[in-house]
Amino acid sequence: MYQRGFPTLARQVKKPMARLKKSTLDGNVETMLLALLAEGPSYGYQIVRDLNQQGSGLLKLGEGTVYPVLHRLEERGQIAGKWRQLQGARPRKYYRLTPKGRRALAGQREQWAGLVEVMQKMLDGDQARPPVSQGGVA
Amino acid sequence: MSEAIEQYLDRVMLYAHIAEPSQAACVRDEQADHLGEKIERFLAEGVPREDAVFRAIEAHGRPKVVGYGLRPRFPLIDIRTHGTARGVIAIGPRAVGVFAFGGAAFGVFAVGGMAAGVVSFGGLAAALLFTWAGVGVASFAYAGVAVGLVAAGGMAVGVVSAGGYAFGMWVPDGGIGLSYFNADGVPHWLRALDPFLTNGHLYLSVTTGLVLSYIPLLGLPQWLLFKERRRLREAGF
Repeated sequence: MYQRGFPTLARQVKKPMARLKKSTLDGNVETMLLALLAEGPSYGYQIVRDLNQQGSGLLKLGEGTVYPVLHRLEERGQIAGKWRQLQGARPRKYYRLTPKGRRALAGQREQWAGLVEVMQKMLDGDQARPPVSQGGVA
Repeated sequence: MSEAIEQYLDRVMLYAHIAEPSQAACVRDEQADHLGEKIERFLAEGVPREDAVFRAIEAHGRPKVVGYGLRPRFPLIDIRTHGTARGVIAIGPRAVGVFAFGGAAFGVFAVGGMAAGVVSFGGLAAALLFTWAGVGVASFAYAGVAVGLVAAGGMAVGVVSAGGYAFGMWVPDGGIGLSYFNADGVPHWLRALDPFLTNGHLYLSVTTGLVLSYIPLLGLPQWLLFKERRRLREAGF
């Protein structure tokens, strides 16, 4: 049993994770941005850098496409933007999470936890099920 | 700021089309700051300046995509040559709005190759209330191939239907039809729908009205789209 399963597991470990498709990301970038800003105020370039770092190279976003999402969150009042000039730096727009954004993020976290649990069960169940050719179906 | 960056930002802002000057300036400054910092990072890594500029622009994304993304959400009129237009009046390859005109249009009033809405016109159209289309599905469908509660067309399938080939619970008259009820046994409530199909004057005036309204319905969005293309062209893009 172990011997049969081992090569499959080895292949899975070696295989690099695929980059996330745009369709998978759609709608989730907002949550990612809220989560990043929950760690503290930040500005566009830094946010993109953090996204890429925490995404371990699996996210491949056009950097400019993050701004429409930021502006949308700002319009909804989930984040607030303010121009600031730190010493020796260019003026730049810093975004911070608002209480409304914090609540939205908490809601999203719950949704994700539920979804991950369900998906994990479904996918694990799919792997555990023996193939039809091996007589898995009575 | 390099000329290439300025040109890139011009293009982005052209597509973003933000009417309020102070808001447009803020958006532009924010993009410029991002690109400026990206270039500085590349320079710090030893990348030659020209390459750094090019790579920063490339990483930022196509001006069309970034610019359209930055457009105000759901304005009164949104006209796009690319992507999905969203506005009270939306015109584009795909359009979503109260009045939507596009290759694929979704709205209260939808006009397009594929249209879906409360009232829709198009090649292939679905509507809650009324459609006039090549192939149409609606409560009241006037179409080449019409499916609906009341359907009229070359081929019509409906509770009450009329046309070249008509199939339904009740087919009042004309053409080749297959009717579940005959003229003597048809319930009153079905017969009440007859005038929509058998009243020649009503049929003719509805059709004439539709033909006449379809010309501006097609022409106006095309004219606005043409103006948008010209605006982009005149800016040199």
